[in-house]
Amino acid sequence: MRGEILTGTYFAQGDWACAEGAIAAGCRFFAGYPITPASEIMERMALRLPQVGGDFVQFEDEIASMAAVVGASYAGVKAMTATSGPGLSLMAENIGLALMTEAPCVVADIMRGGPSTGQPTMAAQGDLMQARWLTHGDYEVIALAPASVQEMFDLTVEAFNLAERYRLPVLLLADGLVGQMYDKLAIPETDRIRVESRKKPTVGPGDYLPFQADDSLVPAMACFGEGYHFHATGLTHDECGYPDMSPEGQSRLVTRLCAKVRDRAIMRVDTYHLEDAEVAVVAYGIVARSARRAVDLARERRLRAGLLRLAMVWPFPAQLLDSLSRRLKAILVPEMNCGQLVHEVRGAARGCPVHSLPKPGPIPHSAQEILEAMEKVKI
Amino acid sequence: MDEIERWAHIHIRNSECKGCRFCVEICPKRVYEMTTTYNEQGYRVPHPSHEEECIVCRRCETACPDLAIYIERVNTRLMRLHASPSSQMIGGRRCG
Amino acid sequence: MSREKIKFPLDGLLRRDRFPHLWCQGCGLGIILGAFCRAVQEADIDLDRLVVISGIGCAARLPGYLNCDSFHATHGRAIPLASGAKIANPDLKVVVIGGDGDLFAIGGNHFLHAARRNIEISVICSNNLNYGMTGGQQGPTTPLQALTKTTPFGNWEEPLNLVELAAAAGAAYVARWTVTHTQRLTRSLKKGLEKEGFAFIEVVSPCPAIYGEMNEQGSAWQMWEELEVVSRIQDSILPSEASFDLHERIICGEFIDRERVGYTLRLRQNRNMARQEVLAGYG
Repeated sequence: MRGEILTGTYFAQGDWACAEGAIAAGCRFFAGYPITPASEIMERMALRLPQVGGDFVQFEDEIASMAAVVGASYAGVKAMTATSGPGLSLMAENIGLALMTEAPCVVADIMRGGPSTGQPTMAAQGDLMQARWLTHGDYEVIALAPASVQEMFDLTVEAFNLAERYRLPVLLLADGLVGQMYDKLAIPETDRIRVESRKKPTVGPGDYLPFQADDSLVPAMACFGEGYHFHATGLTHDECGYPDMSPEGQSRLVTRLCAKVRDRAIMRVDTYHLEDAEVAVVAYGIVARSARRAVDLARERRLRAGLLRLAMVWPFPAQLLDSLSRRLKAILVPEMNCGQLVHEVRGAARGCPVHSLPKPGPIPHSAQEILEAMEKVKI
Repeated sequence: MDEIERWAHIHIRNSECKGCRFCVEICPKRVYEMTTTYNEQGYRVPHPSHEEECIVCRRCETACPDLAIYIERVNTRLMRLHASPSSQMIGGRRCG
Repeated sequence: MSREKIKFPLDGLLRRDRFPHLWCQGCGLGIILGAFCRAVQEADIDLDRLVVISGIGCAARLPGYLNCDSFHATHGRAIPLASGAKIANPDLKVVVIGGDGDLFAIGGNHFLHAARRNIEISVICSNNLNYGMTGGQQGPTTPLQALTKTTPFGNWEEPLNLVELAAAAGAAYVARWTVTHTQRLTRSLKKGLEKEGFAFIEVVSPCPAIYGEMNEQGSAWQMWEELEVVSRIQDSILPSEASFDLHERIICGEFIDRERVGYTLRLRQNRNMARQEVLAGYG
């Protein structure tokens, strides 16, 4: 007999784990479009959501899917979609709408070879910068980067919680290998899974200003049908939600939209042997797994190596990188693309040289490749 | 004192009018006239010069693109214009 | 006599603090706004349940003037956003208002599929034959040979018959009116609101300041008179024959009013199927 949360131990696919994580987090609406290598998330949701009292709809394209997610979110339901690079490109505008109207939601991007149609069934890490600068204007996003099937579950739950807490779309940026691989997955008991929901108004309709925030910089969210008669728009708006074309209005709004994330120093990292490291590898996703092995191999050769694994790539932990760089001799950034993360690391780390190890994919760096690069850069 | 009977009081929110003249043109009883008064937006506004002719068809109210007109139906109490039995009101309605 | 302080009958349905509205002198959108408010009153729709969603354009500014939950979304994407809201909470009364370009050019694909699905929303299209908000460019309903900013020598494309498309895609209720049909429009909007299915109402609306000016249609009132003269009401006609010739004949009326299973009902059925599978031990 299936419940809402399938507590137990499984040998599961990354995509499957993501779908179960969403359901565990309370997601009850999924709108999506088929795309390799993310379709399995959608297919699992098609099966499970109606079982748990939610709704799944396959829309006519990714643009509609993302619009529907915003609509469902504003109707008070936790909502998500899942796609890959080409679909994310299509979703750009409506992710911008979600950012502007502060609609909590989750967008999973299972990365494949690009640009354009690229290599649909092959893994890559080419969407990093796209995840940050997907749409026009000024905004902050949160993007989590799972590196295992277990994290596909755990970080999806985390994604929903962050989305509800900060009222924005949260991306789950997994490379195609993490999405497609099978590995052990432990789904905890229901009461061991922490779930957060959006802040609701504490005043009545007469006193409610839909985009007025307190010190948290996140406004309380009334939803359709609750009697608040609010207006939400993608236009720059004031606290009442009405369009505001004044210079002060623009400044006030975008400053708050950025500050509500920037000011919170949100970070999710893993460190491995960094305490006494001379050379550090900075990586995320499947590459971080090879990097971890490379650190072990390096230590066997008495090279003081360490790993900083980013479980959250945006916001980027610039301060941490900077302070780390001051006690390192070198930083190495292996990534499955032609060099994207390295620019961010270089911008932050002012204490030591930063070396790029790009590899466009689909084959991730081996531990040996990273080890050789580390030996070359250590001085 | 003679009082002219009327079926309606016509309310116009002049500040919201954009002077399109639909009310002037559409009224079957030619109640409205365009004035030379300009409102704060810079539009000339109409005036229901012959309010007493209004038959509450509400064409102006429904056609006004600015939702600036409300025809308030009022109960008519026919006051005698001239003492003439044929113009007396019976049971609230005019006969003859 | 100007008595400005008195409460007008539609005040309760409007965000009066935002008036005067931003539409031009003689624009049909204000008339559509009034007709919609009266339809909401006549259908006795609970304002707490009503959600009005739009994309981008002049018509898309309409929800901002209504005293209910309203959402001004991205260009062409009001319908899928509305679908998401309706699916997530079927108790909502969801309405989409948009222009001819927003709903049928950029939004055309979404319109088609929402009608196909028979999602229980009303879609009201203010058809003014061009893209007014951005200055008067060609749109999918611009008449042949008409002048617009992107067809300065005359439009070489044939326009789309919106009611034919809506009917072909599966809409449960399809009607066309002009703004001159104030009473029938109100009645039709009411029917659309009460329909448990995809309801589409096209409203031919004058754009005197832009389309009218470019094409020398005269004053706003003259454009109104032209619409009155050329429109004919013919209910029992195939939507494909409900022709639209701006200066000859615009066929108006209710063309489709049929029963189809509503989308949210089908989703409920799907849930029941899914739960039976669970009991059977699958999934």
